[in-house]
Amino acid sequence: MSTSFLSFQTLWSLMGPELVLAIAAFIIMLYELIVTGDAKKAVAPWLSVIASIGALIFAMSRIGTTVTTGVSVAVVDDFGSIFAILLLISTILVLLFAIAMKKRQSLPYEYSYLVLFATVGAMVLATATDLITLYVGLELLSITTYVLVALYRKSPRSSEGGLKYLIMGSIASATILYGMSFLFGISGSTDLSTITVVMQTSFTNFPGLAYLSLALIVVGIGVKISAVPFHLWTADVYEGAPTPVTAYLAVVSKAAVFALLIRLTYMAFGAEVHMWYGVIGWIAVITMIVGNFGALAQKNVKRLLAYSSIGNAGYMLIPFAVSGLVKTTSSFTQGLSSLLFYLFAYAFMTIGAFAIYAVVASHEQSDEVDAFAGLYKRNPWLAGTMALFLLALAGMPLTGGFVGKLMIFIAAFNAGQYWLGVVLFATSVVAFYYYFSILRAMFMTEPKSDSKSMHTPAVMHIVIVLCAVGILWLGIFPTTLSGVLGNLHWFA
Amino acid sequence: MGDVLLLLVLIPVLAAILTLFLPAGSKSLIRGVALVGTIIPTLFAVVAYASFGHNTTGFQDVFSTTWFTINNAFSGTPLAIQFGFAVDGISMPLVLLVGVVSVLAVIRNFAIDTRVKAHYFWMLLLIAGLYGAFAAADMFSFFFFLEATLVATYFLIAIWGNERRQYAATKFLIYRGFASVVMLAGLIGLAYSFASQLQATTISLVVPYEPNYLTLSLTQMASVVGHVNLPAATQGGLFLVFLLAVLIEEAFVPFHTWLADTHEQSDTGTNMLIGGVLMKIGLYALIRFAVTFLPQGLHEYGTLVAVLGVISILYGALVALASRDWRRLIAFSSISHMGLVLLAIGSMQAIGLQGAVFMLVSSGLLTALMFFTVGAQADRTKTFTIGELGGLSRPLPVLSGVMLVAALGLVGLPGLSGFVSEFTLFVGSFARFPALSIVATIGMILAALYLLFAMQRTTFGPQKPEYAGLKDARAIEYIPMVVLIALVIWIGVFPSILGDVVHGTVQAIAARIGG
Repeated sequence: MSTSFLSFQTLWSLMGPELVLAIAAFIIMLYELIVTGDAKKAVAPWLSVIASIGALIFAMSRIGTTVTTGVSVAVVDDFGSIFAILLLISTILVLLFAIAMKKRQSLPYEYSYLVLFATVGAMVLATATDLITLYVGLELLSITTYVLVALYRKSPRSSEGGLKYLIMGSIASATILYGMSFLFGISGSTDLSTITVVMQTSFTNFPGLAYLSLALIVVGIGVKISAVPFHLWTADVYEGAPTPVTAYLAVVSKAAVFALLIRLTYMAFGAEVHMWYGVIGWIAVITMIVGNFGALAQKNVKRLLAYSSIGNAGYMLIPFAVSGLVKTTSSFTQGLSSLLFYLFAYAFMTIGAFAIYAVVASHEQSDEVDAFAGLYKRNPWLAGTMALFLLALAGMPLTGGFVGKLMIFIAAFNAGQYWLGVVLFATSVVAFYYYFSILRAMFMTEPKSDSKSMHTPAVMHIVIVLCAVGILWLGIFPTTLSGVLGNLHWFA
Repeated sequence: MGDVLLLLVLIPVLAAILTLFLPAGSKSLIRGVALVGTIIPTLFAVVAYASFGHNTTGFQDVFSTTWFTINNAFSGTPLAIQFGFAVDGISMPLVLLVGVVSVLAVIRNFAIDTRVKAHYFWMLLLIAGLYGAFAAADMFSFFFFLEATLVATYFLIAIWGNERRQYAATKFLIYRGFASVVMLAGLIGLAYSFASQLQATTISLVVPYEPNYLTLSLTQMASVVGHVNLPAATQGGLFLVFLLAVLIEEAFVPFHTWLADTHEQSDTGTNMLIGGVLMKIGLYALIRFAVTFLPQGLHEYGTLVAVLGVISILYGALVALASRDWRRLIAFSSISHMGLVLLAIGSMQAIGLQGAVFMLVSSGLLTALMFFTVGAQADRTKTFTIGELGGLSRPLPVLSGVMLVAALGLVGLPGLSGFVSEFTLFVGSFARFPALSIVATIGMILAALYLLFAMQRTTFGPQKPEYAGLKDARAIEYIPMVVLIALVIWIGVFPSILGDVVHGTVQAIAARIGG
């Protein structure tokens, strides 16, 4: 059909940042083949950080530019660019986090390029406009994260988590692929823009196939973002994975699949969005409720944060769930802005909370809430910043978490879906209970017997400071981000 | 003058930040900073009160600044999130109440010796939140400061409370947290209904209104309120949302259990702030938002409000009668007295509303005084249990006397602020609900019973030997007692110092609700 071939020139103009990362990943892979000993352990992760920063600058420079070519692989539009920026910032934070953990629970250094490959996959999910490319991106992200989860080969928990994630993730990928196959069957094309045109009428011509395809894709994506009732793997995998990888799953992986959800379902099934947005609304409600109530019972901080991330997935589904109701494109983009704003805030507060958890847990050799006992005495700085991240997750004013939730709330009210907004804040109150249980341990119990003051690696301080500044900045000067989001031309 | 209100909030916050940079060991310095950080705003509040214009009914001392905007929030128009402060006849007395009680609570808690730095950090934030909630002229600001009080109070209870403090703190957090959420739903719902109604009307927007329909600013909404008539069903629904929020927030029956636990487990200074000021925010919000903007909702559910008020009056009084602990008794007594405010609001009379505001102020002062004296005697006797006390009037004549004044004030002795409040309030409620009001007066009789009975067991009777050597009030304890008693008597004898401020605004609201 298409006569133009994919030249490197075209590819570079479409997927420049992805290529930067991919090439860097291959170089680092070669580097660790050639170099041996301590040198590679010290240098390889920093090379990844530099490559990610390079890609980030590249992605930032593309904000506001739109590139479409005759080739239906990907487009450059602000939707993809802003997601790329989010994913790259999160990746850099996670990489620094992993480097900081070197002294305590050293990860096998392969992570330095695996993370880059995963991020390439994540970015492809946000930019690709072709079913095949999308699926390749999804698998690149998925397969590398299966390996990352199981990276502690000798830890049974890590292997268990890896295997569980592999099975669940593969089934989800297969489900999505199956759903995509019906799209191809209906439209005869893998190009999303062609599919969009054909699908305008398909709900009347092939209602069975269209709805089946939609259902399969939503279920598969539901697994990936751990929406209820597809969430059961989450707590086990998050618990088993090395903590930096857990943060990666909770932030990068989740955000990327949200990009897929929006671009794929909106382009393919947007014509009849008013028929099915209600289902997404219900999934959002159940996810918020189950995630937040599930966290109540958790004593293990990692599992607690896992359930919290389920609840957060519910919050993030709201802007998408109400998009079918809003009358204007401007309201739809407001929904997207609120989602992106919340994702940025979520990235900072989640990575920050996991980082401090990792320091405390590795020092105490315990994953339990009790490990935080009396932290205010042993390390006021860690206790204070952890309090900030937890209050942000609980949605307290002056943090980005609050502004993000407020924006989602307003998006729900704007669409007339008051109940979604009310459930959002009501389940946030439930969340007070478990976030404050960590605060209680930190500030209101005495430290256990002979606990020494806690040493924090210097790189970890950088991660914590970046996250803390990020979340406060978004909370106090939200306009810096919301202004940018408000001026984006989302789709090409 | 608008900046005065901003300073009320800003100074305690700056003082709180300053304490963070002081060494934890220099306790006196921290206490000094906290005291200065609360006295200066109080002086500003006094100035604002003194210069309050009695002849205008709307907001005064308006200060407003836009924080950020949310694009396409309503029909393609943006929503400006603002910090807005202003006072009218209802909020002005309550702002001054914050000023008075906050200084006295800070002085009272000089007695606290553990983690002084953190204590005053949270206390100053709570005080800033209280000022902000009452001085807010913007729904967002109101919610913002309400959340601030929630977190600050949580820490104050959970760290410096008694044995079951963590249970009480969590209970406080969850109940008040839910109340805030329901309140937020009501506020945003009100703003959206208002905006869509405004869009439907053809009036040209008056000058202070932004070109956008959706606003959270009360001053902007007030400028067009005469042109906007929300549908009766909307008003009724929103009114019920606000009512639910207030029932939880104010610990009315059936959501009453948390308040007694909170008061029982908190330290005295925190109790003064909670009982004296924090527990007035909910009813203030009911008047500020629901009564002002949803008059038809009040018409429809006025009887329900009054009935709920009477239930809380009687239930609170009966439980207070059975309470063995002074702090629980005061908690239920205050629930009972706040029930009177509900009754007054339900009556929809100007005089009733005036009585309601009087009651908020009077109950604030008296509850704070009550907690102070009970706390002072417990410092000496080491118990709050009424049955273990007795004969304290001999070793502690001054404290016992002050306690008696506070109790008599709550009972409603003429010449004290409680009497004026109850009198005006009942004048209003008898006009609309004679039968309910008669039932409510039973609550007042019960109040005399439980307060005087508990007083009698505490201060009179045979002196217990272990309490013989107790020392009476110290110099620093005279400050709160003298100030509070002076104000209680002042309002009792010259009600016009409060009435002149309240009158105009209450008349304007009553005219809207047709009372």
